[in-house]
Amino acid sequence: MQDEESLVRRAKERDEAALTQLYEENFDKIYRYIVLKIGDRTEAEDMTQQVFLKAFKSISGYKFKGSPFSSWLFRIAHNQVVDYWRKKSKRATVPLDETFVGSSNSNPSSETERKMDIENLVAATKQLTSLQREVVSLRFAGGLSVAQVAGSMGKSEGAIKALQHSAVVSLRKMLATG
Amino acid sequence: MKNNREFANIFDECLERVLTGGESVEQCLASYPEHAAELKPLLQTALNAKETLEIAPRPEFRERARYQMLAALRDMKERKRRRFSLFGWQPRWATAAIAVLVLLVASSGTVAAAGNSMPDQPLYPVKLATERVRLVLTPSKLGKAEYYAELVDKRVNEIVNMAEKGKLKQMEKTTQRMNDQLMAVAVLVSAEGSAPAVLTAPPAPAMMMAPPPPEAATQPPPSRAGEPQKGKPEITAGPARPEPEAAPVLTPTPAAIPKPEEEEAEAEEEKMPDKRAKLREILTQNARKHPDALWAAYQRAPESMKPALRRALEASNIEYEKLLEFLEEMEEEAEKDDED
Repeated sequence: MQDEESLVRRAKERDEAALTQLYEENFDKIYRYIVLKIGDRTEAEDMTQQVFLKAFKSISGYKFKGSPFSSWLFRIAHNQVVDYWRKKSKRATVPLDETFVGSSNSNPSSETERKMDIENLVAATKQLTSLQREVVSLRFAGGLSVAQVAGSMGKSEGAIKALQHSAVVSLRKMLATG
Repeated sequence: MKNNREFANIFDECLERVLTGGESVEQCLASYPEHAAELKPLLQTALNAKETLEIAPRPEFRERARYQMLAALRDMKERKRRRFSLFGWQPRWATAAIAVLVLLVASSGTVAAAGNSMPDQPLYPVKLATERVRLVLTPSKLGKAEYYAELVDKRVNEIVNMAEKGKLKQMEKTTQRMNDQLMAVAVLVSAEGSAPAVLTAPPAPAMMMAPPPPEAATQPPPSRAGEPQKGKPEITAGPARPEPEAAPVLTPTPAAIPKPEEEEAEAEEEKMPDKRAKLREILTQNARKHPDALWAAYQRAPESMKPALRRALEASNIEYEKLLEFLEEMEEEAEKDDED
């Protein structure tokens, strides 16, 4: 954490090596987080770029408070995603994967273990509550620990563990019936 | 409730042990035999989800995005520096005097002759130097973007000319310049919504778009910008005709994102809507004209020239598509603001 603090300090002084390191360490995590939230890989690329552009332009206002720098990036990414869906809904379009519905007569125990694909996963996470979805996105796509997710969402670790558990139970059911 | 909490803790512990501790699912299950039946499928689902999400953006996009981001930041830095430098405090007449001086020099015979020179001609470096001077003297970022768009037009003519003459090396260099200048337009346009950008020189050649895979050399060139497949150049037999379509493009979320301090400069640009409309018109025209010109050159070109021409087509398609979408989005936002 000490290293990241000094890295961020240098980045705030517009040190290109530090900015590049922060970019390299976080770009893929933010990209995965956005892909899971919107389900469009090409759009997610552009949005990830926007997240970093915004973050680095306003990095001088960033205050290090002990949580990882990525938490701040995820917050920007979250706002970006909210904005994306707001605009998308204004255009009255329906995402293709929103039609995901599982058949009810499948055998959950035998089908859960099969390899899922990204479209199914995105569709399944849409059925979760917003808190569950956020936990899954930060934990599995963003690669944050439970403690980091808790810090990022302003909740206790116990609450995050409970949300993680209920989210995975729901995902299993949905993916098994998909 | 307590049992649920305990199980959630056990599940997280096992997940952590498998994800970061290098243990297998079975090892963890052995620690909690009483919960094994319930834990196993959940761990499997979580690990499958994690594995499914092991995806990455296209490497060429990643590189390009990094370059654009650093270029935008450099521009901001440069602008700040200028604001407080001696040059920044010069009276307006001094800037005007420099501009007049450059215009006088530009009207001299050599510079005028260089204006029409081609990459294989001795006066071509003079042409490039004159362009750089004019860029430095163009004050606004939209003005710079417009001039870069004009330069891209020149580069396309040069690429076609070099293709006709069979001069591969010069054509590849010119294609790189065209890519750089298209990227510069993108950086300037995308920075317009938040902070003014001042690009004084084209981007470094090392950050060019990645060349296509070897098999791409034998494929026909992509269709024109504005095709439905956003960001992915479509492979067709020739340039397609439809108008560029609108697609959702992100704009800043003002409430959530800290405002960059450079935004204060936005107020200076009162004629933004007109300038944006003009830039959009130029880019729309170029988005139609350039692929047609490059496609025509591609059809006439010998096989050895085709891969480079194909790259030029791909680059122009991708950049124009993004630029047009972004400008359209900005106009929509402006219209919305007017309505509000």
